[in-house]
Amino acid sequence: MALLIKYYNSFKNIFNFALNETFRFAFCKVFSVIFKMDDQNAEQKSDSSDSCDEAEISNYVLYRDRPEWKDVHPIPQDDGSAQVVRIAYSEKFTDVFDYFRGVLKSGEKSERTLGLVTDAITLNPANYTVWIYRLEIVLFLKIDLHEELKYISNVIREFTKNYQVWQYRKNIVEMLNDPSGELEFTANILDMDAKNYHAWQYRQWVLSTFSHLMEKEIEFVDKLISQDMRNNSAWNQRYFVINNLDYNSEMIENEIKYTFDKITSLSKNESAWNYLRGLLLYSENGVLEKRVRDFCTQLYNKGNRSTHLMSCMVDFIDADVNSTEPENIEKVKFALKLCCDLATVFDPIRRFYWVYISGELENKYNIKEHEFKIKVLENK
Amino acid sequence: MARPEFKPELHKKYFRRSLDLLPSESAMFDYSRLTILYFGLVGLDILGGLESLTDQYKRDIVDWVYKLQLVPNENCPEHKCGFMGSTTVINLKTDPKCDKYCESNVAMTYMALCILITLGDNLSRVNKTAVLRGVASLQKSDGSFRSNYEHGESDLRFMYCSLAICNILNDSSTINVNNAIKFISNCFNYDGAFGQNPGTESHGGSTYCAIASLSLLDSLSLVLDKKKLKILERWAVNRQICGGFQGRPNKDPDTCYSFWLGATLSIMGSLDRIHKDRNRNFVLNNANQLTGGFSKNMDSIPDPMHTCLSLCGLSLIGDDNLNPINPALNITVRAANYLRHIQ
Repeated sequence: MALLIKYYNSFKNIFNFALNETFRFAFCKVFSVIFKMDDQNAEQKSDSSDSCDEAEISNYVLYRDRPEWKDVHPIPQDDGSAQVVRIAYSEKFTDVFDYFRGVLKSGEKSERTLGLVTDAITLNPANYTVWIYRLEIVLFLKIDLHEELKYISNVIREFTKNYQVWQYRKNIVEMLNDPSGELEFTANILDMDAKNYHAWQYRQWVLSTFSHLMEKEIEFVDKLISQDMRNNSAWNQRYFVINNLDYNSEMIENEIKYTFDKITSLSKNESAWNYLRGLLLYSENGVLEKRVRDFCTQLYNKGNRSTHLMSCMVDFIDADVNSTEPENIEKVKFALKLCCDLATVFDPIRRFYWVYISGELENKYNIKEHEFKIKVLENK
Repeated sequence: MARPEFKPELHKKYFRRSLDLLPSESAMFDYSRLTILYFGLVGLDILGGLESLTDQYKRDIVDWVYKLQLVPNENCPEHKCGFMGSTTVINLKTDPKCDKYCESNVAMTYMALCILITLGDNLSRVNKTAVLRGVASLQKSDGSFRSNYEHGESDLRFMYCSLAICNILNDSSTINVNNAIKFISNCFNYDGAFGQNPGTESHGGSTYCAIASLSLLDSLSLVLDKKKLKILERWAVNRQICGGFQGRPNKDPDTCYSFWLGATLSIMGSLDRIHKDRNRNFVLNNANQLTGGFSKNMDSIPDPMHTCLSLCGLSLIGDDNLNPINPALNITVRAANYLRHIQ
C-alpha cells in the first residue's frame, strides 16, 4: 500500500515536471467542498503540499529527522485493511500528522507543539481537531490573544474561504471582547473579494455582537455599492443595517430615493430591484407602493424594458386588480402583454415561467381570449 | 453551442477512481473523506453503476464507515456520538486519555447514513439512540444546529443535516422541532430566499437547506404562505443565467446550482418553470470528455462534488439514462424506497 502511494506520487512528479504550468495547475487543482459558498476552498493552497515541498526542500526538516523531537512517538494513520477513498499524502503531510497524533495522545502543550499545530494548519486548515488543540495550547501557555489574533489574520488572508479560520477568529475576539480591529480587517478581506460570504457573515456577527459599531456601517455599504452596483452582498448588508435600526419613515423614504437613483443608472440590476421590493415590506397603507408604481410606469413609458421592471409591473397589476370591471380587464391584458413580451423578447430563458404566470393571470381573472397568448414548445 | 455527448461509462470510471485513491493535493479532504465517498456512491447510483463494485468492496466500505462511528462509553459522552469524517484521529478512539479529541460532525453523520443506505446496509449497527442524542446536543437555544460540539459553527447546512438524520432514523423526538422551524423562518430574507443565518445574504445552497429541511418536517406551508412561495419561486427561477444556475444574483453560473436550485424548485413543485434544455446543455458542456467527471465551469477541472451534483441536476430535469433522485434527502429514489422499507 505504502509502496503504491509512493509510486503514484513519483509518477505524478514526473507528470508535473513534464507538463506546462497551465495543465499542471489544472491537474493539481483539487475538489471543492460540500455546501461551498462559491469556490470556497477550491482556491485554497490546494497544491501547497507538493509544490511547497519542492520549494522548501532545502531548509525544511521533517519532524522525524529533528533531534529535538526524538522523544515523541509518531502515530501513523490507521485505515485498517480498507482501500476506501485513500489519499496519496505527501511525505511532509504524513510526517506532520503522524506527530500531531502522537502529541494528541501525549497531551503535550508547549511552544514546540504550537509550532507543529501551525504546520498542520498550513497543510490542512479544514481539520477541526487541529484548531481545537491549538486553542487549548494557546490558553495553556497563556499566549497573548492579540498575538493570536495577528496569527489568525494571516491565516485568513491565505485561506479566505475556509469555515474553520473564521470560527477560530470569532473565538479569539469573543475572549478578547475587543472588536476594535474587526471592521477594518473584514473590509480588507472584502477588498480582495467583495462578495466573500464568510467575511460578510463574520462582519454581521461583529456588528450584532458589538452593536455600537453599526453606526458607520451604512457609509461602508455606500462605498461598496458605489464601487460595484451589482454587488448583491453589499445590498444585502444595506438591508441588514436598515433592518437593525429603529424604524422611521424618513429613513425609508431616503432609501427609496437612493434605490430609484441606482435603478435609473443601471436598470437591469436585479440586486437593486430586490432591495426596492424589500423596502415595500415597510410600506404602510400602500403609500410606498404608489410611489414605486409611478416610478415604474415612468421608466416603462420612457422605453425602458428591464426584465425586473416588467416583472415588478406584472406583480403590481395583479395586486391592484380585485374585480373584473372592464377597466381592470384592460389592466390585466396589459400584464398579459408584459408576460408575452418577457417570454418572447426580453427574458426568453424564463419563457416557461412567464407562460405559467400568464396562465395564472388568465385563470384568476377568467380572461381566456386575448392577443397575448404565448406559444412555446414542450419544456423537457 | 452543440450539446456534447453524454458518456455515462466515462463518469462511472471517474467515480471509481476517486473512490479508490486521491492525489496528494486532496489532502484538505483528509478530515472529511466521507464526503468524497458520499458523492462517489450517490453519483454511481444515479448512473446505475453500483453493480460494477464487487460485493467485497461494498462490504469493505460499509465496515470502514462503521469504524468511524462513535458510540457512548465511559470516555465518550453522548454529545460526541455520531460519525467522524475520516480516520485522521481514529487511532485515539479507544484510548481513554485522548479520545476527547474524537467527536462526530453532523454533516459526516448524515453522509455516513446516506452511504450505508445507498449500499443496502440495514443500519442495524447504527447506535440510533446515541446518534439522535448527539444531534440533539448540537441544537442551540435559537433552534439552529452546530456542526460539532466543540466550537462548531452553526448555520442552515447543519440544520439540514440534523433534520435529514432524524428523518432517516425516523425519530425527531430528541430535538426541538418548533425552534428549528423558527430558526429557518428567521433566515428568510427580504428578497424571498434564505441566507445561512438570519440576516446573511440569500444563497442557493442555504435556500436548498431551508426548503429541504421544511419538506422533511412536512412544514413548508407553515413558514411560507402562498405569497412568500411565489417570491421564492421567482428568486429561484431568476438564478438561471446563460443556461446554468448561479448561487446568488450577479454571480457566475456553476453546475452544482443546477442541483441546489433544481432540487429546491422540484420540492416546491415548480421545476417546470425553468428552461430545462438550456440547463441540460450548460451542465453537459462542463463534462470532461477525456477524464470523465464534471467541473463547476469551463475554467475548472472536474471534482467529485460537482460531478455528483451535476448528475443530480440532470436527473431532476429528466434523463432516461439516469436514475431519479429524492430531492429532499439527496439519495436516489431507489435508495430512499429501500430506506422506507427498512424503517
